[in-house]
Amino acid sequence: MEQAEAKTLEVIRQDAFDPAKFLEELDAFPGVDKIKNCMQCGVCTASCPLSHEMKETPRKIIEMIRAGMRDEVLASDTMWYCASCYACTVRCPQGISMAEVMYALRTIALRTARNLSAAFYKTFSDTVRRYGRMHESDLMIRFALRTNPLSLLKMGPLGLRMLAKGKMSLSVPTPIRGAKEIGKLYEKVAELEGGA
Amino acid sequence: MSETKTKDAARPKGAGEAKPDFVFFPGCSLHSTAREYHDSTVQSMAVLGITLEELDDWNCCGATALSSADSLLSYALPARNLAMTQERGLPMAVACNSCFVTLNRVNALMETDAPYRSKVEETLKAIGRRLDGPVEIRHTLHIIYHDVGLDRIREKVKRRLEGLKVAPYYGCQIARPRHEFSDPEFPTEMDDILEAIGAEVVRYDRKTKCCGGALMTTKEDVVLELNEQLLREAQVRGADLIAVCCPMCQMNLDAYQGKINSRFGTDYKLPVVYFTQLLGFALGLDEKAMGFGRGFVPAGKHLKKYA
Repeated sequence: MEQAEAKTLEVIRQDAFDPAKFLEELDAFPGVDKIKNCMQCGVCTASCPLSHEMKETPRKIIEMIRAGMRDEVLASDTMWYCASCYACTVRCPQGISMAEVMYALRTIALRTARNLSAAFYKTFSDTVRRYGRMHESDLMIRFALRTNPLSLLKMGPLGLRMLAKGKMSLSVPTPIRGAKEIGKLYEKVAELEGGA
Repeated sequence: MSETKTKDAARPKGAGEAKPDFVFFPGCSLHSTAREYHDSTVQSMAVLGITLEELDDWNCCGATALSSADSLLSYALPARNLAMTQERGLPMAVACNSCFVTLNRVNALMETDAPYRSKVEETLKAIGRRLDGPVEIRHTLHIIYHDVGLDRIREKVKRRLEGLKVAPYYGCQIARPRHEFSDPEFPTEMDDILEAIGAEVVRYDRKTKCCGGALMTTKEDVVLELNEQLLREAQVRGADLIAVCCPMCQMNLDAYQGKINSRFGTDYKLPVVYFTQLLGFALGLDEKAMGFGRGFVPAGKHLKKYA
């Protein structure tokens, strides 16, 4: 018992443990400034169509953020289940945009995460950078090659039906005229964020 | 940018060609998987007296994928489209819920977060553009309901879809997080439009429950479940078909219906069509031109008696 207490005290004494630090990091994202106002009512969790799939519910994630549990929050699967439906956001009595919190958590986690979701969002971004627009077949093929090339076979049947319906095209995508502008936007963003 | 300007200058002023009502931002889906949404939207709005002009050289809004990948970029990409809309001097019309929410997110930023806003402005400056405050962004469903109005729709109807039972499915990103529609969870605009063209709107409590959107790619199992629930309610309520206003919803409910049936042992055969396809058809536009054949679950048999 005494030993455990000593250990806790030691953790608290460490400079690394500063609950405010993680909040500050999140504060840099627009729209996530109200986390402190959370009163743990759980309306977000109750409104979420996918909270039953999450190991840590949205309500719990907020409390973990405030406790400064950065590593645990970023390792959780919660944000990868957010479908951005904003049900939590419009119902939160404290005006917290949980959807924005989830975007922010994904963005931070994405820098190191090695899961399917992270690969998908990165591939999506690469496709937009390349052409200025989304191209489903290009996205799905690159995504499969990045994650599991065998999954292309699994996607095959639906892909073929999409082609037949003219909902997908295998032709080489043409970049928009302003593709150079898009490239410049990406560069400028990297420059501005690199400083942060 | 100069290209857009030259084009505008070359446009004959007042010489027979009226200024369009809106700049139309179609978004990537309406140019690929959801072409029938594009065509039925543009054509039925034209019949109703609203002209749309596609935004020249628009780029992908980034959708929720960019919001999840890079914060600043997720504002900068849609901001380019808004800046070009401002250059054109018209309000923007959007038909895709995902684009709608993403573009509106920039507007919300313009109104609130000054320091971050200037960062976004800096990225635009790097490409020689600027965004001067928020841009008026309207969902096409909102425009049809408010600017056209139910009376005008009733007047223009050529085929009343009497007896057609429709479940109105709005999806999540149209009425949330902003509150421009009648209710963030139970909006009624599409219901009223469908009734104005004679259809019978069935009760549909899941009208804004999420279909999972792009999570179909990364979390397929649970998203199939969400869509099974959506189909189940429509079936239980006796709907002949589901009307939607978002390409993600349409894709998930329609293209994956077969997979849902084999996964859950169900036998759904519910066509999932855009409300504009029904609207255009009711306004007398050609069934083929409305693209009913592009759905995976055929809708034809429900429309035969009105053709």
